[in-house]
Amino acid sequence: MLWIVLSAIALPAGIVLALFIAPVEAFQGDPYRILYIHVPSVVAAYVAFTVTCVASVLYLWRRAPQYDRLAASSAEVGQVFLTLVLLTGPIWGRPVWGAWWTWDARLTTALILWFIFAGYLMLRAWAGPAGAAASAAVAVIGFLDIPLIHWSAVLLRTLHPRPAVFRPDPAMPGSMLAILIFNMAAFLLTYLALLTVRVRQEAERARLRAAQETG
Amino acid sequence: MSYVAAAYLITIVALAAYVWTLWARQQDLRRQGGPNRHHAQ
Repeated sequence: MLWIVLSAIALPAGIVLALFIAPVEAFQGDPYRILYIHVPSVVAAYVAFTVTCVASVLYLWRRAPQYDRLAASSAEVGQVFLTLVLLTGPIWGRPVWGAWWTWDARLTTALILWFIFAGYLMLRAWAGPAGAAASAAVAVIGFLDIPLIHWSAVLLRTLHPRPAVFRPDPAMPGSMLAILIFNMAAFLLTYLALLTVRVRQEAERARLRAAQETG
Repeated sequence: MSYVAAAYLITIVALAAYVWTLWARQQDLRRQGGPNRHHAQ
């Protein structure tokens, strides 16, 4: 409940800060404001899929169903944020690059991640609890794509901007960086709020299934 | 519509749609005998 209240306050506040308080960027103009939802969505998706990977490894090791429920719930919420990344990125790219999409390394590896976790969610939906171990294996393999996405813009020549925030000397003025960090926190709170609700639902569904099986 | 407005609108609508699916699933669980029946017992 705490996460829900905090995210309900922080998310609208972050949007107001990004749209009305953040200064205009000298070269890109207003379209750069999309960064305030694009980057926090990326961070939330990365955290979500990291949680899915860790919970999947724990499930494969211990075979405790609560790890499986956590992995599935986090993957579903992570896929929502990754979808937002893939929607807001092209909307930024059109006015700044002059193209909605380009098949460069970062965009392509991000799209591959989306398809991997779409497959993961479909596998879970069709196989149910019987497919938990196979789903966990898919999640661990899928997670390996995240370092590829991150390093693709550093090691390869891509159209996508190099990381400007996650480095010792952020390439961004303090007034912009503070609002970006606020929005990252707001999106992470939203992730936690959605994850908490989803995990509780999965636990309730498991309890109902057990009650039906026992009679 | 500007690109910025489109991006923010899509984000808000997508998050709201996902919250709605969570609410719908919660209702479904309650119909099946979830939290309400559990508390009643």
